Amino acid sequence: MRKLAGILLIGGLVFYMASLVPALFMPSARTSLDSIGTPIIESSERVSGSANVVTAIVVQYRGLDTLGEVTVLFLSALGVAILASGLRDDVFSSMFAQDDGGFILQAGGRFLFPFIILIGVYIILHGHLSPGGGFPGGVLIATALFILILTGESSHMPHRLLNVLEGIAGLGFIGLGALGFMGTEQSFLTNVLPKGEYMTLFSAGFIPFIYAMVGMKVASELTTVVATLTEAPVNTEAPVNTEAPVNTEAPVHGSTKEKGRP
Amino acid sequence: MTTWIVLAVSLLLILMALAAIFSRSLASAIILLSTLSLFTALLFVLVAAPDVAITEAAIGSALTTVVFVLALYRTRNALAADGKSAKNAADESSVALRSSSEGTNA
Amino acid sequence: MISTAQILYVTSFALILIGLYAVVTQRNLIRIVIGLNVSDVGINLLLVTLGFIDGGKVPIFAPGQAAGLMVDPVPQALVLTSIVIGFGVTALMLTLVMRIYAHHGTIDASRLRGLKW
Repeated sequence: MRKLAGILLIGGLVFYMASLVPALFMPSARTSLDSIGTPIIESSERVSGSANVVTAIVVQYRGLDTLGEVTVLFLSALGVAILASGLRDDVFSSMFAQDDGGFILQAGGRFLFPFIILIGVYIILHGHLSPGGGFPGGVLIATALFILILTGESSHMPHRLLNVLEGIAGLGFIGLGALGFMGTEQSFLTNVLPKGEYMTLFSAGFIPFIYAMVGMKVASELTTVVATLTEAPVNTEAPVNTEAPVNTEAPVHGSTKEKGRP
Repeated sequence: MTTWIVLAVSLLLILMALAAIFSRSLASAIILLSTLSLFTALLFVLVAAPDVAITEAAIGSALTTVVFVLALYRTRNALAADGKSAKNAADESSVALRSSSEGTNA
Repeated sequence: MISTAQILYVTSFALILIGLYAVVTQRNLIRIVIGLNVSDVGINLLLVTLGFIDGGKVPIFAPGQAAGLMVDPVPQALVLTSIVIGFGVTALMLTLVMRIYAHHGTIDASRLRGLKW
């Protein structure tokens, strides 16, 4: 029944696409940029001072969307923390009970850790000069941090420190945006810091600083998500079976619920 | 010239997506998903979008795979959904994570 | 001759459809999440292809280089957001799957009695 519905659905969509086939064999690529991209490319040097036009769009032209994205990431990390407080199996102690990755994995992870962090910080800070920016740089730093978890090197991430860093980064983002009220235009997220010399590191106004805040927030949030899924409340009663009620006692591990930030 | 490379990578993407959906074991589906996002990052470079390529490679290949493997580990004792025995889910997640915890878990 | 943009449109539609098929027909909850991820990849590819121009350059100004025709940077900025949020949604879905397993003991969608198919 379900397979039949699936095949009908996909068959209908494939039929619709097949009806577009005559248009498929006429080469119709775009040859000029006649959308909103043209005025943005032309004005990006004057308005934002950043050589990377995508960075200028993400931070300055559509800065509120980035604020919304950071909020959605925070909400998903909050959701994971709330849901994971009902899990009962301590993955780390059972996964690494007998063997914990061995000497090669742990020594290799320890060796690679500063290099990955260095590359992540480089990608964050050069977001306005070369491809990258706050988001992949923050993800790289989070990857470095949970290489430590995965190789069995350290079993516990400092959750308090991560929460404080995340709060500071969020406040920094909003504070830098509120600086926009001091300029001539008086609106949120305008670029009022001095724009320096084009194509150097300290140019483009507040773009490196906002990306640094975004990178810090993304890194600490993603580390918290993966660390929460690895640690869990300690098993104090029998494992759940099919019809047992959930969460008859409060979870022991309290720091997964510390998501208090403005 | 780039058209041929884009054609080859696109065919590879579709084949990997089909293999990830119709594969018999969950662990190989997850590895195929990671490779899918890696080849998509290559495709993004060919379409002159390096920002997107770096972000997709970092997030799709590294983070999503880790969270999938953790989910696979936590549901390792579930019966496989296609009515067979627990062989599919339990065996391959144990092998994938090198866990020998069946003796220590209650 | 078929151009690059047409190949990419067909690929992205195919990826979206394959992911959608997996969501509709599979019974294992983790396979449903895998299907949604494949759909995500297809949608991001479609968005980036909408701004593609044949022979266009990367939208980054390089020192000492004449300004040529650049690809559209606006869809790339939107896709950056979309990829990160896609990961957030995947992590949340997988935590839901773990919680369902802890509560019901099964991850077979046809055995969960809440919404019966």
